[in-house]
Amino acid sequence: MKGKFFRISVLFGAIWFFQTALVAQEESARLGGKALKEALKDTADDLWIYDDLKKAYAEGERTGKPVLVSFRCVP
Amino acid sequence: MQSLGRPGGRPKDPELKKLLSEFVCVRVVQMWGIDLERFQIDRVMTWAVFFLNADGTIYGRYGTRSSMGQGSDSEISLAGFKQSMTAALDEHARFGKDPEATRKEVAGKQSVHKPRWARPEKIPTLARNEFNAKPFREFSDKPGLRAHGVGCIHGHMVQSAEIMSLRELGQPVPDRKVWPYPMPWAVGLHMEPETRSTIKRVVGNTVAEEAGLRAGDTIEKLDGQSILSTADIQWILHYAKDNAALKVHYTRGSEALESTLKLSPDWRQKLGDWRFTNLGICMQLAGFNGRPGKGGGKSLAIRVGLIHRKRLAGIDLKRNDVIVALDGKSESMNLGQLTRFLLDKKPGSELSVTRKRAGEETTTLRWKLHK
Repeated sequence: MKGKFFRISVLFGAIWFFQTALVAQEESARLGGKALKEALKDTADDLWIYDDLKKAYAEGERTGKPVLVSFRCVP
Repeated sequence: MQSLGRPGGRPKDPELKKLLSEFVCVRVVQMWGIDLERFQIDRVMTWAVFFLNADGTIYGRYGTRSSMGQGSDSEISLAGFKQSMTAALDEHARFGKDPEATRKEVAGKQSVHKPRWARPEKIPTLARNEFNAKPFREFSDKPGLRAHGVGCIHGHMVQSAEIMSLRELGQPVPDRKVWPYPMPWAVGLHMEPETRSTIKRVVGNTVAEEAGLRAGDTIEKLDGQSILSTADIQWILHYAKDNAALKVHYTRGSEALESTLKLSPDWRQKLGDWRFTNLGICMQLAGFNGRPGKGGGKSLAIRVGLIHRKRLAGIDLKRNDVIVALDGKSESMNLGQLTRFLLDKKPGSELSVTRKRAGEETTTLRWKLHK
């Protein structure tokens, strides 16, 4: 009986440990720069002009919007 | 709760998308043809952002890299970027109402020093490479070349090439090229990455502590310039002179306060350095690279990393040897100081290296620096 209780405790302990580790990992990714870069890739593909600063300035002039220039090596 | 986007599972962020849609967004994927005067930022980064008006007036910068490998992006975050974007939009709204006043206000954020070369492909050591002499697009469709980034001028290449070209021409290499864009911890500040410019921690016995700054304070202006991000602080420190007194305006709760950060004469040179560009320069000049030992000892202890076998042929220096003296000098050096030491020596001059190796007597080796 004691042995069974011990095994179940170890099992629950292991599940708790892995779940905590997973949450911590997700939280760390959410907070860090990796999450930022991933979010930029994912949410804004249709918004970007590629490698054409002149076009961006002209577009900024036309729309009255500020320009955001992102320097990023080819992924 | 964020919704999941593609089956791959990356989170979508409508707030980010909305903020980005307030800007004209342009992604520059290589440095060929880039105006080095306007786009001055730490070049040893994997990602950097400028917020500017369509007339070229810079409102601010975003992007900070603090180390190599894991943790190199620990100073940036999605939340911090959103706050910086919002602050940039505020600057733009002010510009719309009063362009002249805003231009004066952000004058310090514009390029104050003309770079020696206007564009990367004009830098002599890059111009000599056939793949760097033409636009990237001429190579980018060739299989194999694109995959390896050949023909693409990367930011870090600009950083190293400027230093090596200045040396080739016999011109001085300023300290700010060797220790560029200092992290705020150079003055004792650790910033909270989740915010625009809130202090996370103030290190004891530093100029920040002397100035009375505390964790939780938000830096509004430094040296008269509004602060949109940690990168803006780095921009000011990059051009700050030794002994400079930088006025800091900050808020503590609802209270607006001001103080002064008084920099010491050698504040920049004391900075520990992680830059692989400096490792590369050491390699080019001396035929080896290495990192000073940890522990902050007073004696020199550079553990040898990579060795240029061809250049050091016949020289008995191996990986993991510990260099304990250079030209007879045995005082400790950080990576920046080692780079500075090698840059200050004349091209082709002799270098004397004293090395220790387990189980062997300490030996002094000599060879000539790269011309």
